Amino acid sequence: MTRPEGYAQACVEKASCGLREVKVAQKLGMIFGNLDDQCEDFETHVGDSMQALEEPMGTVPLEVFHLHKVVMSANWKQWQETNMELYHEWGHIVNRDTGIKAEGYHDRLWKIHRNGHGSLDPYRVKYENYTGWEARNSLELPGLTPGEFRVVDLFPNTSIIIRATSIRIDTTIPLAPGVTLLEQRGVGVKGESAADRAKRRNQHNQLWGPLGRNLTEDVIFVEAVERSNRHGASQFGLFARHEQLHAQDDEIMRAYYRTWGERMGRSASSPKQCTVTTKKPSSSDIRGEQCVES
Amino acid sequence: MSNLDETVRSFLGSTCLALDDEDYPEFLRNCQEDFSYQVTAYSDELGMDMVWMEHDRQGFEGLLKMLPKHIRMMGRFSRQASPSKIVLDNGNVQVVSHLCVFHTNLDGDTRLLLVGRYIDQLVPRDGKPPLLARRVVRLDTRNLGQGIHVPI
Repeated sequence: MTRPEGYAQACVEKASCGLREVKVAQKLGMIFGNLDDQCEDFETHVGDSMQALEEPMGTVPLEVFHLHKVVMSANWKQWQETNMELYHEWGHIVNRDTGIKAEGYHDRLWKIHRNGHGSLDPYRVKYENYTGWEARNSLELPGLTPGEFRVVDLFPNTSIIIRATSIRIDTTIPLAPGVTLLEQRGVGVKGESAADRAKRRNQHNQLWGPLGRNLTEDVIFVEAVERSNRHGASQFGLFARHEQLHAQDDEIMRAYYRTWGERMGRSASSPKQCTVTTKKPSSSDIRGEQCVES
Repeated sequence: MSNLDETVRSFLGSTCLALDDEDYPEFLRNCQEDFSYQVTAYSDELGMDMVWMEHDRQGFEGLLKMLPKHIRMMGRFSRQASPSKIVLDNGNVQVVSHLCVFHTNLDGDTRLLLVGRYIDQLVPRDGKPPLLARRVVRLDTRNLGQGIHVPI
């Protein structure tokens, strides 16, 4: 700010115009930020929800080798949904062949953590069941067995998915109502040989990335759900499957939206009415709509 | 225009038409047995090249075989490849072409999906069209919308 005295009459001060400090935390090579100065400590907030990532992501140097972005016609939470509800896997030929038919797929249990986070027991994906693909039985990340799949969903907008040899980190950013920026990062071992990197990268690309077999289908699914929600064909998402926390149980979705409801001061099942009293909604939360506290 | 220029232009056009029409047997008839295919892009964010797809002929054919079982972006793609540099190299022909791919959806709305280059290595044949030995699709566009299942 040049010649700051010129702003004195308007009470504009340099100290109030710059970027402000925000709370950040680093874990497993990722940096998490929180704009809420009153937020709880990050480690307390995530608890043990990231435990399944500690060995694969915390014991060898890693590197982001893939980044691409998708601007979706969807609400930002709908992408997070697709990383939580596994029922949609019936829509992927890859997942039907390599996952749903595989031993142990339905036996896995969700762990529902505080604050809307979730993690799922691992299992072995049978990549060799998809025509032309091979089993993933080499280059596994530390702590993983051949073909092993792990997922951790962090409220509100981050998922970390491991498919034996590579890691995908999803984050979604709302750009406007019904418009979301999805960023996907592919992560592998830093400093590995060119041959190992090529194999790891190509396995990453089999499902992921803009030319992967699954990513495109996921975007199509999410945008179709958005259209049916927005235009009245399906006004509500149905998160009503109870299967003792097994893989396709919707409890992780319910936990996610319970947390969302607590933070927004309204129920996800009736978002136009504020019915949750754990947090007094601010005027900006209500946005002019009727608030009925119960 | 030289005979080589005309041969390359005709070859590129016919392979683009085959891909647009999803006539993959026709496209593969124009490829060598050791054909390889790669899609790359440079990430300004990461400061490095990214490979988004890489196949030898067997892998490429496997990808094509499974296409009908996937849920895909509906509509048609139109590939516009314009050869801009043609170089004879040890009996092979290196061709760099400017590439635009348009997508037309089922409502008839057309948009530009991507721009980039084809970097092709062709093997000339006496009295016959050349064969495609290697194709690198070098993308400038890194946001491909929903994504794309078919070869670019």
